[in-house]
Amino acid sequence: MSLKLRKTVILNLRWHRRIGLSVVIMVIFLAITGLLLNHSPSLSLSKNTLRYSWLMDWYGFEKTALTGFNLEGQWLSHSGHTELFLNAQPVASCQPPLLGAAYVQSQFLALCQDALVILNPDGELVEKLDKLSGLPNDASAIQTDANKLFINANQQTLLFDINTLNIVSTQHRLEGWSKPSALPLELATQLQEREELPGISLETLILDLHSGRFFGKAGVLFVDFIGLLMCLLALTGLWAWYSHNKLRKSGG
Amino acid sequence: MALLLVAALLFSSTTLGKGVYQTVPEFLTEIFAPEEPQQDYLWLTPELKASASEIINHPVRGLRIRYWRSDEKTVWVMEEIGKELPITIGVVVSQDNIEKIKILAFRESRGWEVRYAAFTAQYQGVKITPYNKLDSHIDGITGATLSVRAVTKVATLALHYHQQVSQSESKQARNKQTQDKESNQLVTEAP
Repeated sequence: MSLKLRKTVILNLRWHRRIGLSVVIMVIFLAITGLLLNHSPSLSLSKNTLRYSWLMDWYGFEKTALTGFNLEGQWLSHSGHTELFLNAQPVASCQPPLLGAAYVQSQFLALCQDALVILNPDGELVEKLDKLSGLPNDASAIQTDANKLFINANQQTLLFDINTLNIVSTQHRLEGWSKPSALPLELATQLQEREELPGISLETLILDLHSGRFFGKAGVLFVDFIGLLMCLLALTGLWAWYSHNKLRKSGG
Repeated sequence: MALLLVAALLFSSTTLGKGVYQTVPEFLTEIFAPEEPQQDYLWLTPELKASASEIINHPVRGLRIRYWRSDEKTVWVMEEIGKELPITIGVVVSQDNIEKIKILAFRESRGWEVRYAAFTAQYQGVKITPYNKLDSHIDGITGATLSVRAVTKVATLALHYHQQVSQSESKQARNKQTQDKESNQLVTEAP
């Protein structure tokens, strides 16, 4: 009995040591990140924003689409946040994406997700027609033909009167709708420099590292596995203490 | 179960108020029917932009503002940000005072109580002072301070714009009268 118990104790201790050694780095790492998260408010971790490009790439933040509409040698584009740009100048706010653009009757027109924006040749906002004021909900593209503006809404062609802002259905056939093209490199660089990049708070980063989420599903499973090993470590430790006492009492 | 009930109540109180209550064409029909309103534009001159910016405490964007009219009644539809998102507000001005205010769309999760008629009724009959302020006190709503402020700004701005339209029309009428007088004099003086 004593010999069998002795063998079990030795085997248990051997595994206890092995498990302990294999999780030592992760235990220290989880303890430190856990402590930091526990004191996040006092350390202001959530206010500390990281904007490293490799981190943004890792988190899958999309960079601004470097496309726009070339009209009369000028470029209309959208930052992807709220601002509509004529060349490098912000000219109006509207919701992305920029669905289409045209130059009609000496005015620039930009169809955003929520509104049709009218700008004068200097890029000054003349007016916005939103969906509440009569812009069709499913407006998806615009095109100019014979100095008139046409809107595509649910495969139906609509004629837009730039002066009265009235929209009427028409049978006019168009060859296609305005499509974006790549912005010139210089302008794209200028726009990117203006743009305030989104960031990741230090708190989010530490939390994701602590949970393993930073490395995706595999990371989460790995932390789960480490958690199980730690439970096993506790159980083998408890068993070692219990069997050691038992062995001492039996005089082994 | 109780937790679910509390969660449902909280959810409903923050989301039920949001949304589009009325589109602009529907609002115009409500105000002018059976008449068809005349659509017009007020061009925002630098002076007018400056005075309008003072009223709303931020620069005014746009070169013109669209309004609708019939006789002495004008209707203005404007957007103003409460806290973070714009509130679309329709204002009916008749004979230099507010006839009606209606919240057409509210997009934020708090402060939507401004859409209640009990609140907007306070603006009825309110005029603008020479200092571009409302001549009557508007009672606020607890928890909707910013929305109330936005509605008051738009109400003041609508009265200011209406005043500009009226002044410009009376100026035009005076000019026409003077021209008519001059042409009549020329006719009578002619041999």
